Amino acid sequence: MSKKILIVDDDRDLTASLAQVLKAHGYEVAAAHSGADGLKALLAERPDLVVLDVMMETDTAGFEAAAAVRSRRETSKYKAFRDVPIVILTAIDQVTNSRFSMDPSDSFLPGRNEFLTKPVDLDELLAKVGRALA
Amino acid sequence: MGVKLLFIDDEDIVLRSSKRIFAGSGYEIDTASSGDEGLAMAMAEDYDIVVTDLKMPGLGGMEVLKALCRDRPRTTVIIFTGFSSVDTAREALKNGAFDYVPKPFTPEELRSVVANALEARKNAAGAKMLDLMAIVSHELKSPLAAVQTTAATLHRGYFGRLEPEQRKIVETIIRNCSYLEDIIRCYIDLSKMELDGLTVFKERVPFASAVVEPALDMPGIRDNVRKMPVVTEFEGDPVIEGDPNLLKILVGNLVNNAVKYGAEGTPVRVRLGVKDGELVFSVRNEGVGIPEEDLPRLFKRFERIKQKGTEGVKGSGLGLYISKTVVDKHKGRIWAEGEPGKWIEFFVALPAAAEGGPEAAPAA
Repeated sequence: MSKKILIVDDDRDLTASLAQVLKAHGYEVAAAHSGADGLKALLAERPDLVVLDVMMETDTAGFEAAAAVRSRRETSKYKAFRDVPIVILTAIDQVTNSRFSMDPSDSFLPGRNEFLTKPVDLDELLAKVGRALA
Repeated sequence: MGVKLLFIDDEDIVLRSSKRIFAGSGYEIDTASSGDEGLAMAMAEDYDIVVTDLKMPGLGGMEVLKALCRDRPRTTVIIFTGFSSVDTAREALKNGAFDYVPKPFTPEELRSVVANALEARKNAAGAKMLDLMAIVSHELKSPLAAVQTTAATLHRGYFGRLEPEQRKIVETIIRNCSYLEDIIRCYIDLSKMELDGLTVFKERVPFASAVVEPALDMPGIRDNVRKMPVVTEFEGDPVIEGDPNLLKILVGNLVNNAVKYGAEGTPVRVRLGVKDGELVFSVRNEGVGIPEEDLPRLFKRFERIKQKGTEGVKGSGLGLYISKTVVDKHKGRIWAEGEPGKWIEFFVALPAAAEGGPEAAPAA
């Protein structure tokens, strides 16, 4: 059975391109365009992996969604997905990335995260998705 | 655009000598013999600089100054002051005057104050432009990223096979996206540096392994489309104190330039060594080079040297300015040498860190 990927990004044009690429490589794809919709889609679509833009409508919407997914609280609605791999998309560049480390090993989020900067390199996307799902 | 000056003074001799001093400067000079007349002129026209006397019958210079600061904030006001009236000069500065010229003045004194004012105006305009560009750049990043990724998707055939002609056109789109991305990155880097006043981390940085190698490992450099091999000659891995991210920007800019402006297919030489307690890093390419008289202009903001053979190359005119800013923050020097039409080499000298100082990081 093919793996399902949820793309959460408020840029619908970019989402459409990424979806096309992932579908061509045999993944099933669902999309949401805000942090809140992303969380709803997570419960409804039950994806194997999430591609999450962390620089959506507000600077923190994506990070908040990721933190909700990764929450260790016993009562968390997203408990079943707390270990879902997340490919984090950022547009943060070298100088401005002081807030969040780009190094997955000392990441602010526990769990399996991959990082990808925009503009998305398609090979890198496929490699990171493949690795996270392996 | 011409520079327009207005001199306001009730003494005819001051007006005449001011006119004479700037005769042949190419500036447009107007004069007014009273505060009322001068203020009316300054309100009606866009003067770059108004130089006004303080003590005049009728409307005084301080009133002219205040009115101009309020209603013509883009005009720079300079004050003539009589016999060492330091207090009034100070008051004028407090009210927004750029500087004052004590009377009697020599032609040199007046020229130099006006020159300073013009320079300051240029810098202020540059800073404003930079702020604006940084804001705009930030907004441009997301749509550009979408265009770039979409074009790449098209190029790779995810939406159907492309004919060779179509592929070429899509490549043009992708190439221009990269230029634009480069420009945007420059503005953002630069505005960050200027806004933060750039608090440089002081970290011990092995220059070859932590700066040059990662900077050279970027796709645009490693597999550059201009087929220019990057040849490295490192003498060890000298350590300096600095900010590795900024230093990577510096190295990336210099090597990117070499790839952009060098002759296709020729090697880019990247050298690193230590000389007289300094780390010396250089990037050399073959190609059109730069005439000697243009070398000092290279590191100024927004300067792009119009050079035969580089017409098709697109850039922000900020890369070398950013590089110089980074070097200055590290108390180093940057310069260029070359032979026009043959080669150019950019050098960076940075103070080497003291060996194993008390703040030395444990060996990784």
